[in-house]
Amino acid sequence: MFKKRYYLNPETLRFERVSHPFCKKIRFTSAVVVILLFISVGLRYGYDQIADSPKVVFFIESNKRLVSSYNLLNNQINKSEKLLSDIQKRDDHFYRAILDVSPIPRSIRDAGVGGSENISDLLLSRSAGFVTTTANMVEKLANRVKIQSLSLEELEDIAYHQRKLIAGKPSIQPIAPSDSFWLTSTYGMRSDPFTRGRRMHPGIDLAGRVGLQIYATGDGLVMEAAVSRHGYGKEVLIDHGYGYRSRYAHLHKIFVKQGDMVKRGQLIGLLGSTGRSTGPHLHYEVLFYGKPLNPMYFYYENLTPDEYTQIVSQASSK
Amino acid sequence: MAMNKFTYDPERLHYSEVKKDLHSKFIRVFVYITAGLTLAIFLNVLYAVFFDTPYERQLRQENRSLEQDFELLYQRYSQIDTVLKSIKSTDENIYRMIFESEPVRRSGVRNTEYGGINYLDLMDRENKSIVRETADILDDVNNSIQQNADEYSHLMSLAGGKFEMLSSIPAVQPVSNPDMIRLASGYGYRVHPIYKILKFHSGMDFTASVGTPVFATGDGIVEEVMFTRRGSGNTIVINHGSGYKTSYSHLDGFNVKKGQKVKRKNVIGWVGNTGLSVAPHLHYEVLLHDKPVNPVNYFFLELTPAQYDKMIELSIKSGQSFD
Repeated sequence: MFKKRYYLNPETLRFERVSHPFCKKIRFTSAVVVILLFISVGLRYGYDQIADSPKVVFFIESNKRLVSSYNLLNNQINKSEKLLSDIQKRDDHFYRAILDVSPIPRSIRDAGVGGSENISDLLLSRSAGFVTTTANMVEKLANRVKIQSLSLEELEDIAYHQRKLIAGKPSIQPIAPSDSFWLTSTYGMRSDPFTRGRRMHPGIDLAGRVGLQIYATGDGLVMEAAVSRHGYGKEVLIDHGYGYRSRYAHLHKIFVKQGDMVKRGQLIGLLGSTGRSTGPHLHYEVLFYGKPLNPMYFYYENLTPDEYTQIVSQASSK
Repeated sequence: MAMNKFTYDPERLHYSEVKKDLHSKFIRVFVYITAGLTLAIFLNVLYAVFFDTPYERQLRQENRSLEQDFELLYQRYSQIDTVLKSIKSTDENIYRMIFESEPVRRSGVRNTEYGGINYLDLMDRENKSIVRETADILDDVNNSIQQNADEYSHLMSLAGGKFEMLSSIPAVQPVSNPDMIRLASGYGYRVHPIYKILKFHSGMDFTASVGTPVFATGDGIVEEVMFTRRGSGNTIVINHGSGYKTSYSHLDGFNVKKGQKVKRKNVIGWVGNTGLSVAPHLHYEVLLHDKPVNPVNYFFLELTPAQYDKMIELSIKSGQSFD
């Protein structure tokens, strides 16, 4: 439009440039721009009416994929919940019954965990129902998992101690059933063989020949392995933990020393008649926090000689 | 624009008129329109690339929120999953400490195993080995059928015509056991929990908390009520006649007296931890002519075949007994 054009000036009879004043140029340019924009907008509008722009297509696809991701996440959460329920059932019915601990009350299991932020508050798309649903599921799972985790920690501790208690607490007779021995004096009040008065016998007396093998009746630590100052002769005192101790007195020989760790069934000495004794016998005591209890309650004759031998060999092999 | 326009040709030094004919006008208009449209389209594309329509902006926003929220939730879930995995291993550790064996998963993967062979594996193997293994399985099944045959024939001979026998034979579980949650250790050789040696466990242990009611599993007469802290602890023995007796040990207390007549499902006592026992449980025995038999075959009035299978599986899998 603004090429160099000439016109014949009738007055000067010369060819002169057609001048285009600047404002004319501006008016023209702006008219063009305006028209262009109108066409542009019109085109865009028209296009939007008939088809989705690539961006729209992209976002719609992307959103669809995200929704299915949420569904997958929900499925995973469901699986986790099932696993958790499995464990929770075991906790409530099995472990707590076995370990003799009361189950965690429903009120604590169902309560929310206070203090930590609720994940729903951090969400951006609060309007999308499925997002809040997933968030609630996650939150609920988090709470259950936390409580279950604490519960199991507690139980693990208890189970560990229970195992140690079972391993330590005196549970077998100190002399093998294949050896010849017999009970000559029970626990409780009896007439003392030396003073002839009534006296509390704090253990049991098992008579047998000198040299019979005496075994530890539970895992533990040897507290004393020396000659007693109270008439027990050569004695061994073992601490089994959890308040339990066992004493083996009037021994002929001692095979352990103070500070040794012993196992149930381990050879600790030989039957004898040392100390204040009327004849070869083992004086055996079981103490609970210092108080002597009836040792008969700490073993049961349901082991065959063969089975007892197994226990003894297990002790020496460990 | 009334006057004529001229162009100047500098080479020929000539002014020539610009024609205003229709043809050139037409071309000019056409060119302008095409150029305009192209420019318009170009502007459009440019705009579309750098800017969003309101709808697009909304979608983009939604998309970003969904994605960020998903990130957040997935992260949180991953944390939880990690804790859950450690819970699972703690659970298995506790189980191992108590039962000295691997846990049986209750829910989850369907049990496609029998006798250690996974059906899904079979599809990969060639026919010969499948046939061999099937034969082995059949042998096992035949053997166990033989073993039970004696007891069954005894039962059948008793049941034939004598309906009162059915109410006295032990036929239900001695404690309430919904979903078979209770069973701890079954009949057979087990590691003894205290002695830690393999010992024959002559009955079935049912885990339960102290005070859980214990039922008579068949009509009969209370033959013995033992009150002791040793061995089997507080024990009740019931005589059902026809050679059948049942015993209930480690009880906390008794609800019957010696010589008393009881009916099936009467409460005879409560679960305890008395005697040589490592945890509150009921040790239940079924004796035929004073010989202990496997109690698992004496719950037929209560268990479906599927539950019976499950119970056998559970009772075998526990490595350690409770007494």
